[in-house]
Amino acid sequence: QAQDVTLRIHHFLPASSTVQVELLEPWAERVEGQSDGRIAIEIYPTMQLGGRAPQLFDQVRDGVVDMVWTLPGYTPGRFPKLEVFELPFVPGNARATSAAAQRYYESHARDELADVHPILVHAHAPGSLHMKGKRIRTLEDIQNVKVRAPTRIINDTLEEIGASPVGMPVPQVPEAISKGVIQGAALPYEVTRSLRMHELTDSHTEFHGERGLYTAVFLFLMNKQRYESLPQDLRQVIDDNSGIDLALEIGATWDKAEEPGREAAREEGHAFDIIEGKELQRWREASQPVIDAWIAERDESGDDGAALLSTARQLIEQYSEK
Amino acid sequence: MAMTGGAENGTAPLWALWDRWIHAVAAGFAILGGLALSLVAILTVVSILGRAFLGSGLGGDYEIVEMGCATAVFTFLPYCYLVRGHAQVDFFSRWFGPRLRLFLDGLADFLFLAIAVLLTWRLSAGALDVLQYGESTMVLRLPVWWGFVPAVLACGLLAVVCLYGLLRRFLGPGRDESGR
Amino acid sequence: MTAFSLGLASFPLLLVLLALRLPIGVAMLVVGGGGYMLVNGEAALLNYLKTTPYYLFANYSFSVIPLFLLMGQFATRAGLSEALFRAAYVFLGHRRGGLAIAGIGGCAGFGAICGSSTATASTMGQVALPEMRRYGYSGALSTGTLAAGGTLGILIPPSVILVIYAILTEQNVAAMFLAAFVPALLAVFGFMLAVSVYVRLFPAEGPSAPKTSWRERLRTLLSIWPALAIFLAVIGGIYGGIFTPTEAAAVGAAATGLLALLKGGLANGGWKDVLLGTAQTTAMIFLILLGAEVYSSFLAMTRMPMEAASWITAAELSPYLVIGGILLFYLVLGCVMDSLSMILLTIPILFPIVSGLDFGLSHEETAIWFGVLVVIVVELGLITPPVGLNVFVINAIAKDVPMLETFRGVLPFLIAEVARVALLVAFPGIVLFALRFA
Ligand code: NA
Ligand code: NA
Repeated sequence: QAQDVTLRIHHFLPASSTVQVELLEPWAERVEGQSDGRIAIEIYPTMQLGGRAPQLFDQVRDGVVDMVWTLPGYTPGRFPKLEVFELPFVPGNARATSAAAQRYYESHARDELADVHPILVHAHAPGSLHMKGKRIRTLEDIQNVKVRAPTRIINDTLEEIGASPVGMPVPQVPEAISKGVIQGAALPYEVTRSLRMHELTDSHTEFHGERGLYTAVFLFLMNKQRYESLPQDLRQVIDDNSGIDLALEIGATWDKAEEPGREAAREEGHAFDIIEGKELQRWREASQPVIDAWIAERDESGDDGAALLSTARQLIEQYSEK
Repeated sequence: MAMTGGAENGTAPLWALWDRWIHAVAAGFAILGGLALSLVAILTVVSILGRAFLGSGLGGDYEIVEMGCATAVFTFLPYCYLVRGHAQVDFFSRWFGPRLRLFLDGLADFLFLAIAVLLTWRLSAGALDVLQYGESTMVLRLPVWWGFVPAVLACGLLAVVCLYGLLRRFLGPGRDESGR
Repeated sequence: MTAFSLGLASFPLLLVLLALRLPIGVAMLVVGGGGYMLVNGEAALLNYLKTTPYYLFANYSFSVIPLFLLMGQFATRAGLSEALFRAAYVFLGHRRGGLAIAGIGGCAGFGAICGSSTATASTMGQVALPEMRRYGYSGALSTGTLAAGGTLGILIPPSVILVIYAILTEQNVAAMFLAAFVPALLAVFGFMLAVSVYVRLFPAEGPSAPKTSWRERLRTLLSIWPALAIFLAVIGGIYGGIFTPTEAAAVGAAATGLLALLKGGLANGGWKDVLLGTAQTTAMIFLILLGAEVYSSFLAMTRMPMEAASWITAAELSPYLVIGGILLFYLVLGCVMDSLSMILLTIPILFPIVSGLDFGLSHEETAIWFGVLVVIVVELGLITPPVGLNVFVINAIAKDVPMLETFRGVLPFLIAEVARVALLVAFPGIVLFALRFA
């Protein structure tokens, strides 16, 4: 039968990516089912509807598309409060960080997403360092090593601890590693397999302890006017598939999505180095200035930076226990 | 190039003067863009040399390359229009009469003008957007609106050049020459 | 009208507008923008255009294009074409048809440092044509050779068209270049063979020039070291893992620029000509890129390409029949259209179809193999009548040769190219083996 509404979802990753297969497709199926087919959903991967990844937020805000999945990290400076989860050694596992980020958004950062209708705020499992020809076992090992950084915060973190970070788009990473433009990259295992990093790198450094080196926050958003124009019952269907329950579920999915990448690296016989205990403490201390700078910057624009940080940490703590 | 048409009536010298002016401005703009592009090439080489011999390239050279190349491309647009450098399919028009050809070329000029105006308008709005949100590049933290300034200026110049081309085609001397 | 039928109708409409002589980028913007507005609303289009043109042009992957074009302009000014032709000439000139074979060799050498076809044709044309005419080469053979030889500018990496195909289909540019290499050598060989056969059939059209002494040969060979060094730096740098394609293009532009400066090619306003020449071609390409961006966003929204792909897959046609049909379609389209527009216009529609076909290759291999085939076939459009850009370029230099003569002269090379395409379709391994062993 004819649908009442068709919603287009736009994102920048391939159709085979975790986000499309594990989040967007099941979500679309559920919403279509619960609306008795009155909502139809079309998913457009790899920026098929035009533009480049940093434009996704504008596209959903302006109604160029109905929904997007994107990273606030692509438009640095635009979502300063949400950045708190990307600070070094703040994030926990994906489930706890996702739930905390969703709650934090609801209680402390609504203003940053006021122009759109957020479905879900989530995060990936803490990232690791994937290296070629250079094992990282101590803070000394990473001095002056060229590492690709995914976001501004991790870029600053790497710089602070003495590495020389290189900013570059994700698709360039495999080529840059194989050509020695960079010696390694900070990435979650969730994407390493599709980037074929297991064929290009030979060692991996993970951070054990309660908190990981870094994460990136993800946003699943809907155009505000589009949402408000839906009839009440259809809005209810969207609401039933938004928020904290979804964050917990999707967070757990992302934790699970780490395994295949790690397994692929293990099968290649790679070295795995763990930073923990006293050494981890050194890394935390070395990167503290990044946190202090973030707090100062928040204070300057009228927020209470330290309070925001402690809220974020408490929330992660709280959801780590459950 | 059709726009340097001969003197068929009294207004021709004035048109010729205008032709020279417009051409000089568009070419000047393109040359500035070309210099920006050359600078991008040089900076990239410096970055590679730094990477090879000093162990570290220019941080964020990707961002300079992107911004520099975008600037170059936008500034090239008015010049390319003026020298009729844009690709078109000329094959079928040989069977068109001169009046139809003049009409079609006028239509093309008009559509080009419409697009130039649209782009200038929309890119200005885009510039305000990125300015308002304080968007900056990741490593060098260059404000993104910097990149929009030459883009908006170049599209504005493109609109002026297109408008001139349209007027020139219908009002200027030697209009038959426009049908190549 | 459903979105799907809008998508379907847009393609013939676009072809009509092109036939009406609208600039190609403008036609794509008009049809794509109009369709976008109908499917997604006026406000959506206006918002989409706010930042899209900027982010499209400020794209690291695309930055390689103006840099390669700048490099080609500098190379033209550096007098390299002369040295390359001389080097081929002193070794091959004394044979029957030797100057034409040397012309192919010169084009191949220049193609290795220049990413554009017409630039290669016009540069080599200015150098090689007067020589050939001086030794009594027929108008057909001399102009045909250089028009065809010019296509080596695109067929031999670096190549702007290969870069654009790689970006459109999300393939690795370096892998694309690597895969194109052996087929390019086959083209050089095929062209030289075509000349040899031609002069055997018509000996009067390509007489031999005097033999050159070995001392002269060695001296000339030394004069091409800058070209060789730049080629090795650029292509070797990409393959050898020293830099990315964009960086390679920057290095090439800087090196050829320095060379042109040293040879005095930038004096007397030469530097302005370089920048303006780069400006013209770059703007032409990027306007079409912008048109293609808007048009393909609209097409994706109509879901026409995806559905067409699933029909073809469901019809279970022989994959070779489909690919043969596609290549034939390009050959026909190439008679009246330029290569870049053809690729930008059709790849968004045809690539999903080809990706769905089973040739016993991996997805990436299919993409690269198809890309090499497409680039060859669209480049043939440059030398097929009635509209052949390279033929026009060469013919403008050789003012005494009628256009028809040049098209006749191109014929042997067309035959060689069709044979090459057939070979590459039958044996994808020729394209892919370099990748498999890389
Ligand atoms: Na080439
Ligand atoms: Na043709």
